[in-house]
Amino acid sequence: MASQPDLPIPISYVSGRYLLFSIDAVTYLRREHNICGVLIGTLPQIPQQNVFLGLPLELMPEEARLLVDKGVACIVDENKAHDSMNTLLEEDRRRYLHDLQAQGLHASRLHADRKEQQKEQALKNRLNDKNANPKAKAAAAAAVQAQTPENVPSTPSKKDDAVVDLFAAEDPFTPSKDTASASTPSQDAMGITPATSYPPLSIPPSSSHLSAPAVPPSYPLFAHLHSRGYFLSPGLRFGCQYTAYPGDPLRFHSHFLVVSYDWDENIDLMDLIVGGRLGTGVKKGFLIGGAKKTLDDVESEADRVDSVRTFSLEWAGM
Amino acid sequence: MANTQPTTKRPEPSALSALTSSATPQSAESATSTQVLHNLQHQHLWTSLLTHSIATPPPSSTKIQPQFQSQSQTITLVSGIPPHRVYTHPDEQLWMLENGIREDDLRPERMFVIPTAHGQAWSLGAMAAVFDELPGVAGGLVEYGRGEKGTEDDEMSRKLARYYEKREAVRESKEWGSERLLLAMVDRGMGGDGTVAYYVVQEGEVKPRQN
Repeated sequence: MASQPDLPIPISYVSGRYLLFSIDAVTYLRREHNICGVLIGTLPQIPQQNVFLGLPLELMPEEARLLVDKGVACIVDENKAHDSMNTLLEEDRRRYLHDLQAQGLHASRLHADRKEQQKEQALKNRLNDKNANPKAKAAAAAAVQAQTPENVPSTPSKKDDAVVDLFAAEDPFTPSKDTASASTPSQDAMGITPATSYPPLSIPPSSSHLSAPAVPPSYPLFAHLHSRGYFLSPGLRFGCQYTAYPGDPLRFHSHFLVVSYDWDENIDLMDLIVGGRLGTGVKKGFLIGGAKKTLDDVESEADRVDSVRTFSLEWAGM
Repeated sequence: MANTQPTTKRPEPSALSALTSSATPQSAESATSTQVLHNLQHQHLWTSLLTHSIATPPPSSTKIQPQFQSQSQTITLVSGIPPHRVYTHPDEQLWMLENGIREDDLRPERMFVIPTAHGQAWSLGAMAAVFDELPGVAGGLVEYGRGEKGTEDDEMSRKLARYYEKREAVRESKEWGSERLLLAMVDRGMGGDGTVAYYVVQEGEVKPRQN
């Protein structure tokens, strides 16, 4: 699954949020650019089931900005893009539908092939069952298993028949027991639900891209930690600005609770104690940091990243 | 019962109050330093305590409120030798475990402390200034506490030599953490009870201990 989407990846800007709707883009950004975002999609019928959410993926403005600055992504105003969707050309539409049809046909052909194989397997098993002593049966079963490891393991033939019936029942146009019709793949294309938006949408021209997202003052620290290979996710749940993971959050515990300060911003020492205490309580460090240079000193946010200094705090235990 | 009770006398000031009020010169910062020093000496049994004055530059930007703006401030650092090691980096701990060295085998080392008080103005700039000044202050002070056990064990002294060699080697890569300080905060104002909270501060991203 090492698919790479076309760059730059269009990030949809919808009422102040930066969203990704393409699963290819989401996996690519996570794999190659350490950007996780937050999945916010739920099932419209059961919105309370929100432990495992799906697409779309919402990006923090910092994440969107970082990707735009790296040239990996661009921001597309979804509102405007919608207008052009009405004018999807008739040929384009037909081509896309034809494409879907072709994919569906391919899928149903694969499906029919597999069904055919299973049927043959089942018949073979039944024959073996009938005329062989138990030893031969076992040997045959082993052989079958070695041949097609991905198939349903050769259990008694009845069950295999049941499997065939089950699959056949899914497809009402194929008479299940008729070998003649099963040998020619059915011409009914399966319905395909693509999880990508490009195509059918054409990539919007670069002139219509929005400018890089506005970012909060903590952006230099965010970019600094990201450049050090940390995965950053929003930290509200943990009482900080970002939580920093040393690798993919699915594999690693977070290392730091991150809070950004301006260089001369007055820090309440109680906040340091609170953060340090909280971090130590959950086996994390409390990391504060910020850029020394202000926006007046340099042209762009990216130049401030080099002047970031960070400090890690932990309870001393005394 | 009328006149039996003697006239109440104001109690003697505590040892700490006497110490802070006698310390010169009288400023909020030096009082804090004195209090932290006193706390380290008597509650945590640190030895060879010293104070060091360092000057931190004034805030670089001018858009902050005037009450925080001042000329170059001086911060008085306190340093001393703790009876036990205050901080061990997790990787260092692993190395020590693999090589059969316990923390108590190592010589105690001088540790620096920034005294602060609750409500005091503090900023990233001040923190960075302290870390920048630290090598200058700590330069001549690479001293250790008394090696209490002596060198009764040949094997251990060989292990320790390897340890100090390794530590010198990783100093540059910061594998075992970087410069570190203790941030001491004294609670003034609401119910200030002489409590001092200590936090380990290190420059850069230093992974947390698994304690």
